[in-house]
Amino acid sequence: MSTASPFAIVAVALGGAALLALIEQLIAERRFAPAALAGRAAGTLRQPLSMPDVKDAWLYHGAPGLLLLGAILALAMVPWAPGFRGLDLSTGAILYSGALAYVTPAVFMAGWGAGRPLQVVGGFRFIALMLAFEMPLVMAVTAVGAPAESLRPSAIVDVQHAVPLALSQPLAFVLFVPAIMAVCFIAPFDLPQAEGELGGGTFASYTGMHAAVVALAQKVLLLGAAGMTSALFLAGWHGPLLPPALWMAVKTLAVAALMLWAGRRLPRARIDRQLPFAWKFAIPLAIVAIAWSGLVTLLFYR
Amino acid sequence: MVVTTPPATRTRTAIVVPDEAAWLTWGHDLAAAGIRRVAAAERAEVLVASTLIPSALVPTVKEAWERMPPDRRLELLDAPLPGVPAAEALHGDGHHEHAADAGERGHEMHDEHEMHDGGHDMMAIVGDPSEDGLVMEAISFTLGPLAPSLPGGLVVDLSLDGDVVASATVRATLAADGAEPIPDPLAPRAWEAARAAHDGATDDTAASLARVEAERALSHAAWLRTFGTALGWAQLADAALDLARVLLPVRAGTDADGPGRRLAELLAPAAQRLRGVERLTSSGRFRRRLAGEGRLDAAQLRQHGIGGPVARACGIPADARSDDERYRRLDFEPQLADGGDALARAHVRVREIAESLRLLSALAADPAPVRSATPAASVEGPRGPLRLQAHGDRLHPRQDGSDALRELAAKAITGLELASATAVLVSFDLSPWQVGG
Repeated sequence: MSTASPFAIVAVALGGAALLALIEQLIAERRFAPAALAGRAAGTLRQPLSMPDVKDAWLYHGAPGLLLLGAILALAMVPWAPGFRGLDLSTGAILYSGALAYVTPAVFMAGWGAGRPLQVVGGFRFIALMLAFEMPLVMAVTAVGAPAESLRPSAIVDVQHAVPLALSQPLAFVLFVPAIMAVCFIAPFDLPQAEGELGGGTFASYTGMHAAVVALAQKVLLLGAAGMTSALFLAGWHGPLLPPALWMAVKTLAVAALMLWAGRRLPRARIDRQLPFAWKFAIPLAIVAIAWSGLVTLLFYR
Repeated sequence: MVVTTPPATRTRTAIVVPDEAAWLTWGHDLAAAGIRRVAAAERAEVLVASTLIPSALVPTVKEAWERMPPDRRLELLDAPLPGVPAAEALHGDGHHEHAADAGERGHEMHDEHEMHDGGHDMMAIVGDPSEDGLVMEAISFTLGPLAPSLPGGLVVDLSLDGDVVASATVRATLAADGAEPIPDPLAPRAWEAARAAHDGATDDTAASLARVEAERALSHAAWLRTFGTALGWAQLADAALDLARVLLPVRAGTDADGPGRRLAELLAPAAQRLRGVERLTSSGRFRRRLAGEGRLDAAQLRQHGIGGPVARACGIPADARSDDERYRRLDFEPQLADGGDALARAHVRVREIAESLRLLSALAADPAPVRSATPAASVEGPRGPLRLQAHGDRLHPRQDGSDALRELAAKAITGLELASATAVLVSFDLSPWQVGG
């Protein structure tokens, strides 16, 4: 199977991020104004970089780049169309979660490096959230790998040519979606940067290019999360009439729009409830999902 | 530096002084004007402030101004605030007398961005293990006087054990200066009515009641907007803003024309928007998020003489309007809830908006003067009963229980995780203005 060049993946990241910004504007501000978005981005880029006067300022300056690196690495695992993906690895589905692990130090570095109390709290929060939800995330991915007998994302898409795995493995699906939103800190799981309680949290004081990189990285994380959800559970590029890549694009943007919409319609998740939920319920349920996956595989996929 | 009033053009990031909800109650819809508040001054394009800045806010505002990018702009709006001229506040030496903080920690207290030594010195290993047996690092800092979700001027000194509030104190730092103060600029119409009551006015018209009720409805809607933001629930914050936007002309109408047919026309969209808010605040999402949080019991409140929506959320039927003959003629009923928690406080305020709209409808239908044989002893403001008390030749404003309520709020958030603590703190709708109580 062929893979796309790194430039193509970067192009997907940039184009997808721009589209998601427009969708977010449509949902949040109830208007479609690309010029306003471009003006806002230009205004951000014109700002000088903020320079916190703290001992660990290098953490602050390094965090946006690391965040974007992790986001693009994760995006590279998403199969966009037959033969079009950044990295075609036999363990790509698991490596997607592995790439997201880079997000954790990036968020914490940003919070700690800013040297302000609420930002530090945001960083601590994210570590707790990531540790709690990474496990059910990986277990849900493992569950959908069984029917395909592979953890290669494109193989998992191929096995869904008849039935999306969201239908045959609903438990894994309902565990995967909140887990991926938590790991990518998409609202209502935007705990490290909660506006109302942390005043923007870990990334609040970034300006200029730093702020632009952080904003881009967050959109790429959302794009990757929506893309991987579509690939692993919604049959990826399979669908009638439309070309495969278009099906994948439509599904990805629809999932991203649903995530953004849900984030506005729910109060922010409480960390004191989410952590017990993840450790006490989501992980045991993920074991059930794996067992169910084994049963379904034996009965229908062999 | 360019001084303008905000036009409704492109979105601009801003530091807002004192806070968005206060501006909404003063008739300025900053969101519609394209102002988007940010917490970090480094990201702000403009500083939105009143032409006079309360002296207790001056050091913080000056510090924020200095941290803003070089092409920063100042946008000034009119507000009923006492203080020093904005230009003087931003470019002076910053050593203004803190009317409210004299003798306290005024000059040491800055917003949440303040670092004591530029490092992580806000943390210190504490000796006592927390509930889970771990010895945690305490994070001590001050929220306010310009903090997210809190009214500008309210200051909360916090010590966190992990992300749980280990101790807290809450202070109101703003005070009206001058010979004829507006005791609390967040409720000027209610205070006007309190003054009229003190002066023994018994021939008040329906217009006065309408002004007070329109102010209450708008104040509660603005509070709900802040509450939605604190909860991270954009849908609720948007619905509350939509409601506040239709209440702005209602309040303006009561100020300009009094009750009448025009007011009746303005009330129709308000009732419709309120139904949208009620759907959200009666939902399972809202209940699950807030039930049991920051619970107070009625005995505590009675002991401290606390009234207002906080007391009514504990089932205490204390409402100065119940003793007012004019309200009794309009079949007024105090709005109560039982829980005593943040959920109950929110429900009481939403029901009070509905009751205020009903009263306004009744006044619009029959705008004839509403006379009372005896003047009311106190007036029920948006946050509780208000009255003026004479000491010699001076009048002293009183909002009984307001000091005690801040202490109870600090106790209520102790032991809560920071997100819940923020929601609970906002649920009290504390005024940052010091009024005797």
